[in-house]
Parts: sequence; C-alpha cells; structure tokens
Amino acid sequence: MKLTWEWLNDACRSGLPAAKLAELLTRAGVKVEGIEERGGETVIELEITANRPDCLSVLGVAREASVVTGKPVNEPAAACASVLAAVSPDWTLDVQAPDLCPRYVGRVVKGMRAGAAPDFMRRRLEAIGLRSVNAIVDITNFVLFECGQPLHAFDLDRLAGRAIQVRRGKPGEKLRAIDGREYDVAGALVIADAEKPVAIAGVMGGKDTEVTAATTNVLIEAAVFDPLTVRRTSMKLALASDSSYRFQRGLDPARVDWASRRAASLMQEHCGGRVAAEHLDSAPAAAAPRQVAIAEGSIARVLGREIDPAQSRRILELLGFVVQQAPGGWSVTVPTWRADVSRDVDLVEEVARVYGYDRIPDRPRVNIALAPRNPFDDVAGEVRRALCGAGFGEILTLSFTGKHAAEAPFLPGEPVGVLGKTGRREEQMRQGLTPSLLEAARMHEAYGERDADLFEIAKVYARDTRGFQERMVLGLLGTRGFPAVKGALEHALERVGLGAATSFRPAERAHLVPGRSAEIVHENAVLGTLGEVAADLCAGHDLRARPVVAELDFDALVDRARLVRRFVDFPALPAIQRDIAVILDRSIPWSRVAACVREASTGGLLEGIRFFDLYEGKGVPAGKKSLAFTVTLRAPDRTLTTVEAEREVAGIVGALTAQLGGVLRG
Amino acid sequence: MSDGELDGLRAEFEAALAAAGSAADVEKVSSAWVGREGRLRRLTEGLGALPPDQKKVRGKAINDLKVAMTAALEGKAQALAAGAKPAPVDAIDVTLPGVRPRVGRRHPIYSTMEELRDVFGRLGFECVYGPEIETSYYNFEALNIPLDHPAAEPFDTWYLDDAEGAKRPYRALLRSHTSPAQMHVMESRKPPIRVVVPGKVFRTDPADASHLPVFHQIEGLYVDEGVTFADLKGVLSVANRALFGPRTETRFRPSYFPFTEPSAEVDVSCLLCSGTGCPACKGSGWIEILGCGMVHPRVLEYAKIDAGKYSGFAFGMGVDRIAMLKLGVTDIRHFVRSHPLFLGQW
Repeated sequence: MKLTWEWLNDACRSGLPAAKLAELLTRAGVKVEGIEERGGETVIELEITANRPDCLSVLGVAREASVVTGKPVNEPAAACASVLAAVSPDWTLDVQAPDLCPRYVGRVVKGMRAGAAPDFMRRRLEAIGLRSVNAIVDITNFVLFECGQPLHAFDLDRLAGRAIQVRRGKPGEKLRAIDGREYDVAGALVIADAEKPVAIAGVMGGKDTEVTAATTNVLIEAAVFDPLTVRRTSMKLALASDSSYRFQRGLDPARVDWASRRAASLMQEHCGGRVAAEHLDSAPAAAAPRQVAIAEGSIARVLGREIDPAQSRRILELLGFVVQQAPGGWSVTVPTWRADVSRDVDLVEEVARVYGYDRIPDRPRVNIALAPRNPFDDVAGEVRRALCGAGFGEILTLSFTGKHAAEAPFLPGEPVGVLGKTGRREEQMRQGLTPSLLEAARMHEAYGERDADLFEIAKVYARDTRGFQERMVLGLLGTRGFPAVKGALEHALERVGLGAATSFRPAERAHLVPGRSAEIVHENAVLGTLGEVAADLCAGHDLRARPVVAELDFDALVDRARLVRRFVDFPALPAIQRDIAVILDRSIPWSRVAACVREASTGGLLEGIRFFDLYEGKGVPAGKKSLAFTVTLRAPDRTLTTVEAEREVAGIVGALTAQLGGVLRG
Repeated sequence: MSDGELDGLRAEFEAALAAAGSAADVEKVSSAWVGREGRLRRLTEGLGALPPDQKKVRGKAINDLKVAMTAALEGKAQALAAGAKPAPVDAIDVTLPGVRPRVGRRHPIYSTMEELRDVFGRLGFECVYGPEIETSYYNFEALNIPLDHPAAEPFDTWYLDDAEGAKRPYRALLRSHTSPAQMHVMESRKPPIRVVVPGKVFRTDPADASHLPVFHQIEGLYVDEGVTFADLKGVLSVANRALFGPRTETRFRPSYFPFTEPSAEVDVSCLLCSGTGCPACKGSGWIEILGCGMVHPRVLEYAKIDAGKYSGFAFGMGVDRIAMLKLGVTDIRHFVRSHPLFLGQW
C-alpha cells in the first residue's frame, strides 16, 4: 500500500524525516518497502501483513507512528456543519441479507456541483497511484485511504425508486460495473435499487448509477460486508479493487459511521453540498469489544526477557488497548480495529514489537543432545561422492514432466496431474527421471558437451489403488556406453555395501532398446533398470547421442544399505595369475562363463576371476565371440607351484570346453 | 676516506657484476676491482699516509670488502656456468597443462542444503524428511493458516487433480512450504524436539529470475520446556554467523506468519557490502533471509502438545535464495537448466 509522508504527517506530526520514520515503522513491524518523490509528495510504500488491515490507511499507520514516536494522532474533523432541514429521508434501505452485511450506513448530500477535487486531494491521490475523477468520487477515495473504510457514492437521482436493497443477485442478473465490463452477478451479494443491481457489494459500483459531472445529489454508502463473501465474489469475477482488498481483510466496525460523516463533511466543504439531517443505519448498536486475559509472567515466559510491567502496560495502552488488573494478571480490552488480537501471545507480540526485538537478548540455550544422522543423508552422501568421483555430474530438474508427458514411467500407476491457479490441470508430475535426464543431456549436447555423464536423486510420483505415491529415485545417464554406466553404478552400490549381492539380468522396458537393457536385482528384489535409450525417445528429445540410463529405487537402497566397513584380512602368500581367452557362442553370457570357471575349480585354489576383454571380428568365427579373463590362484597354506597352477587352468579350460563348447584361443 | 665511500664503491661493484652476462664479463669485473691493477689495490696503496690506529681500521674494512667481492664474483661465475648446461634429453615441458581427472560436480543447491544441515546439525538439530504430497490439513489448517483468507495467498498452491477428492475432508496438494513436516514430527514424537526438514516445495509462481514453481526450503523446529524468543534469536544469530561469516549481524523485524506468534523476519548484514549499502541490498545494508517465530499455541494444540507446559520456535528459509546470495547466482532458473557452463562451475 502507498501513502504519502505529507499526508501521514497531517495525521501524526512525528517531526521525523521520511527515512527515519520508515525505519522506526519497519522495526515495529510496519514494513516500509520504499520511499520516492512523486508529484511534490514523498510516497511511502508499505508492505502490510494480512493480519493488520488496520494499517491499510493513513490513520492506521499514523496510530503506529504515534506509538513509535510518542506524538499524538490528529483525527480529522467529521462534523457536518450545514445540515438540510430535518425532514424524513426520501429514500429507503432494506438489508435482506444481514448475515452478509452486518451494517449499512447511508447518508445523503444534496445540491452539489461535482467539479474537480481540491489540489491537495488530487495531488495525494495521484501520488499514490489513483486517477482523479471528480470531487465527489475523489472524496470517497480520499476517505478510504484516510481511514480504511471503503465508501461508494451513488447518484441518488438515478437509483430507481430511491431504494437500496442489499441482497443476493437473482438468476440471470447482470451488472455493468464502473470499469465498463458486464458481470454476471447471480448469487453474488449485490446492492440493488428497486429494479436492478447497482453495485457488487464490497467490490465495485455500477456504471448506471455512478457519479458524473451532472450529478448533484448523492447517497454515500459506508457498510460492512462479510469478508469471505467479498473474497469469493472478487475471485470468481476476477475483479479486485481497493475496497475488496480491505473488506476481505476485515474493517474497524467503529469507523463506518465516522467515514460516512467525514465524506459528507468534505463534500459539503468542497462541493457546496448540504447534508441531509437524517441518515439510515441498518445496525447502529456496536458489538461488545473483545476481552483477552493475560497471566502475569506470560511476557517473560515467551520472550525470555523480563519487561517492566508498567512499560508493557504503557505500550498496550498507546496501541489503544485498555488494560485492567485482574486476578493473576490483566484483563485487556482489544480496540475495535484489532480483530487480529485474540489471545495472550498476540498481546506478547504487541509488547515485543514496540519494545524492540533488538532489545531482547540473543541467548542460545541449547541443551546438549545428540542429533542422530539421517540414513538418507548418509546413503545419498556416499552415492553422490562415489558418482562424482566416477565423473558423473549432479543435476537438479523440475518435478513436472513439461511437454514430455507420461514418458518412460518408473513408478507404476497413473500419472498425477496438478491444478494451477485457474483450477485447470496445468502440469503433470514426473513418474520417472529418464525424461529429465534426456533433457539435461540435450542441453549438454546443444552446448558442445558430447559426453555428458549425469545423475539426479529426486522424487517421482504416481497414483495407484492405494492413493498418491511418491518415491525417491536415483537416475543416471551416460553417453560413453553401457559398461561405463554399469561400472559407475556398481561402484556406487559397492560404496553403500550392496556390491556383492547385486546382479544384473536381461530385461525389457518400453523406453529401452531390447536386448541391450537389464534389471538391477538385489537379493531377489528388482531395484531398478539399466539400458540403452530407445531411438524414438532420443529423437523426441532432439538427442543425437544414444545414452544409457539407469533408474534405481533410492528408498529401497537406503533401507538395504550397509555403511559399516570391516577390515578383511588378506593373504601374505603370493598368488599366481593366468590369462585365459576362450572362443564361445555369442549367446553365452559372461555370468555362465564365470559360474562354470568357479565350479571347475574344485581344489579351492581359485581366488578371483576378472573379465578384461570381449572380442568379435577378424579371427573369430561368425556367431562366436572371444572372452578374455584373468584368474587368480592361491593356496591358503603354501606357495603355489607353477605345476599346480597349470593343472588348475587346464581343469578350467576343460570345463569350459565340455560344458559351454569353448575353445581356447591361441 | 669515509665508510660511506666504501659503501658507494660496493654499490658500484654490485651494479657492474649484475650487468655481467658471461664468464668473460665476470673476469673483466674481477680484474677491474680485485685484480693486481684493480681499484681496491689503489685504495690499499693510500693506507700508508694514515696514522697507525686509523690505518688498522681502514685496512680491515678494505679487506672485508675484498673478501665479499671475491665471493660474489665466484658465485656469479658458478651461476653462469650452471645456466649454460644443456637440457637433459628426457626433459619435459613443465608448462604444458596437466591431464585433469574426469570428475563430476555436486549441484550447488544440494551442496548448500548440506551446508545448512551441517550447521544446524552441529547445533543438535536432527535432519528429517517429510512427504511432498500433502493434504490441506497439514499444509494449512493444522498450521493455523485460514484457507479462503488473504493470509493463505502467499502459498499459491498446486492441488492434485483428484476427482475423488471431493469425498475426502481435505484436499491432496503439493506442499507449498516445508512447515507441514513440523506437524508430522510433533505428532510422532514427544518433546524435546529439535529438527530441521529440508526439501522441495511447490508454488504456482511462473518461472522468472527469482521464482520457480519448484524450489527448496529448510525448516527448523525446537519444542521443549521453557523455549523462548531469546533462544530463537540466539540460535539463529549463531547459525547466521556459521553460514555467512563470523562478522555477520542479524536483525529481527516483527512480521506475520499464521503459525508463529510472535513472528519475525530476519535480515543479515549484506554479504557483499557488510552493511554499508550496495545494489545487492538495495542500499539498505540488510538482506532478508528467513522467517521465524515462536510456535503458535494453536499449532501445538493441533499437535496435542500441552501448550501450557511446552513452547517452541520454528524457522524456515529458502535454500535457493541462500545459494544465490552465497554464490552470486543472479537468476534462479540457472539451477534447473542443466547448462554445462553453469554446472561446471561448482
């Protein structure tokens, strides 16, 4: 909200320059966002929090300025000096929906000449961003910003039947508002004359009854409307105004009639009008003010600082609270403009903010307590270090699928859609990380980074019969082939204690190339997938490379991880290593070869077997391949002889030939 | 002849020696100064005219100078000889760039999150996580945020498309802040509670230089007997110094959050100008970094924690914003674009 320092100074002569006053207000919770000179006035922009509608006016901010500077508030005059002869009102008021309009005050001013508003008024309204219309309209706006009570002026002579009804819009009813647009007001709270709606209550007046240069007699409306009703109407019609902004946040019920009188007196002063002696008020009785009890010691208990009770009391009284001694503490009467204060902690905040947050000591009284580490952080930290060490860079991408809806789902179930501001389905939550990884790879390719190796740990979402599901997933993408990604993954799994019991077996997935993809299995549970990305999917992402992606259920990884390391003693006796190359059918997987070698070694000498080369091509018959590997042989109790080693190797080669049809490669 | 004159001669000698670029040059300097016909020799000849006591002192000074000059001449001759050595045949060009290992880099948001977790971990705050799919009960009601009220407006929330949702009392949504996790923790534990909750949050903000529809927060909660606003101030001041440097000042301004009372916004002295005013802090010297306050008694009541016995404080900050401040990133969208020139910087 904007107001001007000069305007504010009329309401409370702080004697302080704008910048200094702004600082004091900010320190007390009325945040000044900026100060600028405009049209001869110093415009102050304030950020008023949703709980403080009482500060949405010059007088409201002046009250705060008064508290922080000690200077009094000067209430403007609202007396109507020149009054028309006491005749009964020549208009009628009928509030048909008192639940949505607790109070309606109407006051008539007659015989005006609606010229231009006085200079000071125009200058101030224009400085805060309003357009000057004519003196009557400007006065309603001026009083709105002066005291926070929205007002509306109807051209009395254009109200059919000189009647005001406050009721719900009837089916089919429409209203052309002051902005020139037509609104469907069926069901909305409206102000109507004898025939038709003339204003959308609390939001905007109608074009037909607006004040024009020809207007001489006006009806000034000052009312209270139900905040929720105004809010819903305003949102439904996508129509907001300075009035609806204030009605939604709540008004000071004690200001309603004052604002009406204030506007009437200004019209009398500046437009030559005369105020009708009788006004109509639907509910003149004031509600009883709220009482809040605060126990002795509450302030110190919340703040951790004793504040002299006399000082606390004085702060509350400066803010308009009435403080009375009560058994065990105080009974505090809340001023009518502070509907936000309803319990003792609210009073504590009032005292604290004026006393000064900076005067409350910084006292970290933190008891010694061991904060346990979160297993997710431990496992994610280990995996991140492992993958970064293996050359994979971490990315972070949005959780929505964007244009690549429902591609390559990882989590089973239906996709989850989300509704935006409009209430329509605007986005879809990602069900897997593959599309995001492909987009990131495309970004790398576009900027000349051909060999992108990337990973992300993030949630994916789906909906199944149990409801909405979310799952943390690790996604990897590599552009240097299947073995490179598999190796990085194996390394990461090994770092979290899952290396030994994890295996890979051929599997098919819609988004991966058949015959070039696998499932990742740990102790009979499928944790994820790994494979080359299908060509059409790459093409859909404008990707020239054919990357390999892996996705793993990270929540399962965290559950299964074993981060504790134990020393394993290693043999002191020397080992003998032998390289073996064998030609086999293409279809025989390495896992069978390795198993065959292990079974063949019956003497307990085989310590390890390590693959080092796969070869197909010249020198190897078609349909065959050459697998080369190293076996490590060692006896636990003696130094192995060459003769023993050769015998073991012969046994292994014999088994490969007998069981797998393998031929030793020269 | 004064000692000042000897000093002058020494300086003259040193200049001559420095100018010598070859063994032959050094030889020339040697004969000109310490040789048979050299200038020191001529000085020595002048000694005979002095009284005996002066002759002794001056003789020693001249001799000292000669020793020093001889050593310098030898040193220079050796240095020139060494430089003239031919390079070994297996010499390498040490100025060629090294072969860099291929390493991946952490994403700066996660590094920042880890730093935040670490700072609060050192203060005894346990890190826990909460769901990203929430209900309007946890995201709003239990936090004392009135739905259908301007106070809920800052939380522009993504609701899940859920046709059956109408049958349920609360709507499913993507959490618009990490605060719902407070409620889960308070429901499942007894005080003392001291936790931080980092994670993704979602708002319907369109993406621009300072907004993304998905961003990150870290939430803190401390509930125990006798926790006060002074404790809140102390813990956050300490944390800010750990995060932003030991001279960081922290300022608490009254503000409003429905789930805390009293509430505060917290500024730190500007990281760039240390409080003197610069464009980064719009000249104010302060940068707003978090919101906090004492847990509203109504929130404790929702969690079935005795608000008469226990009190607590809570705080929340934007991880992306802190990363931007600390790293000097000027557009939040860089974090999610996966641009290699951005990711390669960390």
